[in-house]
Amino acid sequence: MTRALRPAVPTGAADPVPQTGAPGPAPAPEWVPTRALGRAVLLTGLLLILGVLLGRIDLVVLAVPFGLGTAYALRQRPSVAPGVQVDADDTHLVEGGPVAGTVGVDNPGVVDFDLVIVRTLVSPWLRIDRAGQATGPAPAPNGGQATGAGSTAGADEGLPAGGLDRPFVLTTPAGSGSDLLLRGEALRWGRHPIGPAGVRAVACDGLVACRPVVSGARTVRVYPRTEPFEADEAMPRAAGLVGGHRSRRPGEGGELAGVRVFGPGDRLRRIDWRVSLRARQLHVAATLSDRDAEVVLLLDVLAEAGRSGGIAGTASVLDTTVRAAAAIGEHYLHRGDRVSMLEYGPSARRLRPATGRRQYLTLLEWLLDVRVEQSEYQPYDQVFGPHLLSSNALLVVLTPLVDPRSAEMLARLARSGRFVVAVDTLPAGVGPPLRSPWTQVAYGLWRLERENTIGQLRQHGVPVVAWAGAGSLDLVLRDVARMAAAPRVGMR
Amino acid sequence: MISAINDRIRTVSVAVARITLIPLLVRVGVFATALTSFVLAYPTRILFDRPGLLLLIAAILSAVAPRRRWPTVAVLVAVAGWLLSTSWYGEPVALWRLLGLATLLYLTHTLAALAALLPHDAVVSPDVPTRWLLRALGVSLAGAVLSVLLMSFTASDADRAGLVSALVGLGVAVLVATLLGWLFRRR
Repeated sequence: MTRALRPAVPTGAADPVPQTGAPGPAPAPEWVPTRALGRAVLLTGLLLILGVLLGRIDLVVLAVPFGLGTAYALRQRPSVAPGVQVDADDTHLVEGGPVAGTVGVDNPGVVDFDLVIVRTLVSPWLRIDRAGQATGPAPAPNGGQATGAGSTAGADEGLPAGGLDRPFVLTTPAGSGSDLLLRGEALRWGRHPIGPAGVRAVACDGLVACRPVVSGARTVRVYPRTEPFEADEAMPRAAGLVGGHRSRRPGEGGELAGVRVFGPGDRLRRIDWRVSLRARQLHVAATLSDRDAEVVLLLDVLAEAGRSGGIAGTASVLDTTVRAAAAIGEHYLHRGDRVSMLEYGPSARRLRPATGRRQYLTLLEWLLDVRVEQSEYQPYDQVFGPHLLSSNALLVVLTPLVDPRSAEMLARLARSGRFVVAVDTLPAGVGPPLRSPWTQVAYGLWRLERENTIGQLRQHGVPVVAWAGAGSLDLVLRDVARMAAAPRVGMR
Repeated sequence: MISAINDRIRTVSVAVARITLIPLLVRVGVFATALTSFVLAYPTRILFDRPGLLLLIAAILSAVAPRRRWPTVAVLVAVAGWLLSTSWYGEPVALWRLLGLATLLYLTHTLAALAALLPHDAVVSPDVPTRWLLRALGVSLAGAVLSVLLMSFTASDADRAGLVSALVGLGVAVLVATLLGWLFRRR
């Protein structure tokens, strides 16, 4: 699959870029003469005509190299355009990890390409710092050897340092291929394209050149790096039948609830013989059942703030949101809980609750498509239908609290009796650009208003905590668990 | 107007800052071969006079703008100088000078073709200019051998030179016509 791109090299005329496979009644020829061919023909003819007219053999001698060189170069003319494909290492790639890609150029014809000019586009979030022609054996053009990043791994020792902001000029003999290896680092999570790549080949000593051939792009998935996160506090309310959390209900589990008199149905291995001998009556050790819980991670995608600098730079709101969501999700899924995700935005994407490693991988994949989507209407009802949100679930809301609708949403959730924890994802030190002397004053007022909103949310029972990695939620989770354990008015 | 000039200056400065070694060397080669061909073609008195400056400018332009008509102009100027030198100024046709001029003119042409194809900021594999130069030198060598044979064949008789010129010119004219026909079909 190909799509149009600017030519790999500047062309003299306004030649349209051909699209491979595009329907058309009369496809343009793939190989066109260059200005050098016209010059060679002109000079040869002119010198010979002058030589004949003036009767001078020296002018014929001057014409000999031009005629000989042109005839020798055009003894075999290429008829097939080069093939180009972009490949990338598709293994599990995390922010800050090495990224590898290959732009493969094939010469399926019988004429050598004197030079092949390769240009490729790469996402700015993939920093390609080493690029160059593969030093190993080139792959066969038609299925002989797979062209890909995997096949050329280890052949990048001689790659020159340099980014992809320059075109590369390679040689490609007939019936073989050349690979342009790309090595670098993934700077940020997301789906980042390598390509499209444009190729223009030149043959016959520069007398003919093919029209630019453009390949499709290859997307590389870069998963967010999960910041370390541990929450030791219990869940406010366990909901499932099995899991890693102690519940308040008696049952088979590991947490000791007390010792009681043996009753029908008690298992013999639960008998506490020491107490039974002392009391002269059979007693069993009662335990609390282990339950799992549902954790809903709610991602506020209404607003973005701050400038993302990748894994080594500053984090924007979206960066913090995605990385924190990945860390929290990994933690609770590792403990055996069910985790679901929701986007608070116009698209209201949702990931169904599930547990296990498979859910963790699905969660990471889901996070790659998180985008900021601004909307004018209130997406509350669309996101929080009664069928979507369990009343026993722990809601962790990752929000920058920039949009007033976010605070309203938190207040409504708390009022509906759900267990809500808000994680403040607004980066420290972020501020608007200075446009007037009043910018700082206005920004200060906005910060005060935001602090006021956070205070009001706390009064409504919504703890707001800034994301700080491990242990970020311990304090607030303890408060939420205590609130959940307290008797409620109107509850049975 | 001023902003357009500033943009142009900025574009040129960026292009100069980004130029890489091999495209630069190829353009230096175009300049050197064009200038040397002028030295071989023109009489000394012209070279060191005011027209010498124009020749220098022609050599520079062919190296700076190889995608335009300047390389063709440079070759034609050299041929004109050769005709001027051997006809007007009556300088003898020395074989070494003629072969040198033919070789340099062809090198100017083929290096200009390479320079026109290479983006100025490209990272170029060293194989590309090496193979290109080897092919050009091979063609020049074969052309020199052919030229020596041609010159030795016509050296004894001046009439034979005219006859050979006519025959060779006729043959190559047919070849050029065939080539032009192929070009038009390709277009």
